[in-house]
Amino acid sequence: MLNLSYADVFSIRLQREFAEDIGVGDLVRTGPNAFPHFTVLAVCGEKAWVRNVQNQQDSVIDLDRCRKVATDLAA
Amino acid sequence: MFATGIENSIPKIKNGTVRVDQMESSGHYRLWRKDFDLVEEMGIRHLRYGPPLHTTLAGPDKYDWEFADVTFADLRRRDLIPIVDLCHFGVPDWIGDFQNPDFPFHFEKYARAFACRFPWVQLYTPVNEMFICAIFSGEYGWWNEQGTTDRTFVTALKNIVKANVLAMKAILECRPDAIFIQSESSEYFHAENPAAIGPAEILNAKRFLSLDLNYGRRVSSEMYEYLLDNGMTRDEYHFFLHHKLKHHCILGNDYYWTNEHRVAADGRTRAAGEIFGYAEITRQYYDRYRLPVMHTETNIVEGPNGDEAVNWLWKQWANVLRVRNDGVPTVGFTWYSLTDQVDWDTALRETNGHVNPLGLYDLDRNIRAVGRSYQQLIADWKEVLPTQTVCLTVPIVPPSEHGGLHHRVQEGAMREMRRAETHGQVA
Repeated sequence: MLNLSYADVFSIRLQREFAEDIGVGDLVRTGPNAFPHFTVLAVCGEKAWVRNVQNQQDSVIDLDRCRKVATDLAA
Repeated sequence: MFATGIENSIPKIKNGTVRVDQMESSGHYRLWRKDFDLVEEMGIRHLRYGPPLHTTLAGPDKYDWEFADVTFADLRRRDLIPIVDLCHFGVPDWIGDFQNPDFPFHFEKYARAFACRFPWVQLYTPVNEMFICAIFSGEYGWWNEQGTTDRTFVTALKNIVKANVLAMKAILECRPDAIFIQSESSEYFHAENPAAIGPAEILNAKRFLSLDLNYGRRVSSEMYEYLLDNGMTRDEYHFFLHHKLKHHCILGNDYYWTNEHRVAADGRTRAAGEIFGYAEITRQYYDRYRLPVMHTETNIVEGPNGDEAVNWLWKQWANVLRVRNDGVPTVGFTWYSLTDQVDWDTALRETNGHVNPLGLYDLDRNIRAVGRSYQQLIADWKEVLPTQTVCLTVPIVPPSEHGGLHHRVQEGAMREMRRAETHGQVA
């Protein structure tokens, strides 16, 4: 299914543009900004199952949007 | 007008023992120059902004203008146009809370003192979101007095709206062409089933109380009984009917994902999410007040996909255009706020230090995807929004033109108009 986003209208690219290994248990953010933070629960192919550390909401997102956060910066 | 704001909520919580200060939480007191740089970087000229009331209004007739002087001088130098928010959900310790009947009179003097000290400021939101302020403080038991009864709600409401009305009058004495952009939460209550229609109708009447009183519009007989049954006197009600300030006002309406509610048969409410949306609810408010409209607050948190706020921005903007194209005079749009906020996920009731990622910039002042989108949206649309009709152009005098010929002519005309209003020559 095509995932529509108005980010296209504004030519915003959300993918990480550097190589990084993301694994289960990593604390990640899913864009270039400091927050929100997520814990990676599972990785399958190009997808990651993540949980928001503040509100515990789960999501499945593109793995290439994840960036590791140093644990001392955790929320 | 494309705008953003510096979030400056200052409620007290935990039975008055803890002061929340969003300008402190966001780092604005330290980084205010940087924040103004970012406003300019966005291509924005209108900024919802105000000095912290709890420290600036230091005592009866006693003001500490130190922070306001430096920040407003800098805004003026940049020719940024502030929409000055004088009271945002809290009062100074020495006033106590919104149950204090002296609050309106202290606030009136404060507004006059501010307007006379900064005569180049033209746009005001004297008290921000009066309905939300009254209901969170006087009925939900969340902020300030933490009242939980209809009587504490009505007391807060009448004091807050009276403060707003007195402040508008005081500001007009110093700045006759002042314009009041009354930022207010736009709400709707949906009945879950036929048994809930009655309770929902009451809540849908109650949502208008703050603006009805503010604009001197007679409330429904049901709401009149409600007000009087809960402590408002006939004289207090009649105070609101005769100030003739409405035509100095723009109807600012705020809309968030949380502004629509489901109502159960027993009157309990819960979040409904976005059902009608901004356009339909704004039409309801416009039909009631017939004032020019500005979308004065919206945001949504950035989620795991990174584009949630971008999509919400686009949706809100599409709603603004829909309202405008349906013939409602629409003069502006606001993404609120410039930076991320802190602890709004618990409506500021707890001090967890949770960062709410909903700003145009994060707290490190790095631009977010929604910031880049808003920047582009402004660049693309800034020439289009004012084109509905030239007759509805808001008569704003930028700081750099204050005291110039155009301003003096406009101010003279407005002074005459105000004189006619107060002598009963204007309906």
